[in-house]
Amino acid sequence: MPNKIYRAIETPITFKDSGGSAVITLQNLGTGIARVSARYDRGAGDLPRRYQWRAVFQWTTTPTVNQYADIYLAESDGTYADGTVGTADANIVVGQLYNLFKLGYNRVAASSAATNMIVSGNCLINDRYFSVIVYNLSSVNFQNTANVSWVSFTPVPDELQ
Amino acid sequence: MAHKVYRAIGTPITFKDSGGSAVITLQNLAAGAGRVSAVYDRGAGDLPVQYKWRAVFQWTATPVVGYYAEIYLVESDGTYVDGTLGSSDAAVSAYGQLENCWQLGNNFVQVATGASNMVVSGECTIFDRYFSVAIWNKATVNFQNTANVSFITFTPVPDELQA
Repeated sequence: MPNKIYRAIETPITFKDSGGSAVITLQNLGTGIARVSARYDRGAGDLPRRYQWRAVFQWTTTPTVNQYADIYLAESDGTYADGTVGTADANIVVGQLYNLFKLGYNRVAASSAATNMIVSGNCLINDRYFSVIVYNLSSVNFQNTANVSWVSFTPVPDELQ
Repeated sequence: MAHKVYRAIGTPITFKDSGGSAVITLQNLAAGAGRVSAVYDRGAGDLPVQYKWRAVFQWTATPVVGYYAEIYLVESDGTYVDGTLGSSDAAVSAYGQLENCWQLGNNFVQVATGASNMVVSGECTIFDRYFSVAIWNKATVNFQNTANVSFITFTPVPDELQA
């Protein structure tokens, strides 16, 4: 008897200024600044490999359409982290980004401040630990309000029906 | 009843100057030079296909940010080796040999500081029983002249059907 393989869906892991699964200070993120989140621990043992990520960013007045912020993934085995990004919410230097996996970028879709710009994609995470990095390459800061800019990772493993 | 498919995690296979699963002499690897590891034998029978690889490299003072070392996977059926790279820890005599190997990625100089860990990782598949790893240092300075500070690991991460 054939068995389909569907995608299951689990609880999102959220990276935000406060109240999420791990902290990343995106409030008022400056232009040309790269910020890494605190490290998130997925736990020991068997884990989902595939994730759907989504980034919701707001810029302050007045963002330029088509400018963007890069989004990177940094995995860690608990000792060695890609890009040597550390474990805490902090700024990093551009050279560290060269050794990270680029998930994508969130473009300014409209020249309106305090407006949600939203992008998503999927990725694989194999290590127990991971962090997310946001590099603001636009000409204005992120909106100076907590928790309006954030990134989520929703586990979407295969499931045998 | 539905069963989720998660990734399991196995014991890492390590390539380093000494004390690892297989030897690769990365200590003092010269700028513009390549090195292939001794071959690693995964054994007979059914084996994992998916691996998480990670490369930790240190350069000597003073590396230039943005330069890098290339990392290649070399598979073998026990007779024919990709790139005809042999089975021993040895210098890669010609860069052209690497062009017949699978480039896993690059490890970039992140900061212009000697003896600092530069770390990169990724996922790959390995089907053959035997494999090696090869490195070509495209930076302007040698690797750090200290044993075992530069190394590569391959951790098996096969799918596993949950109960």
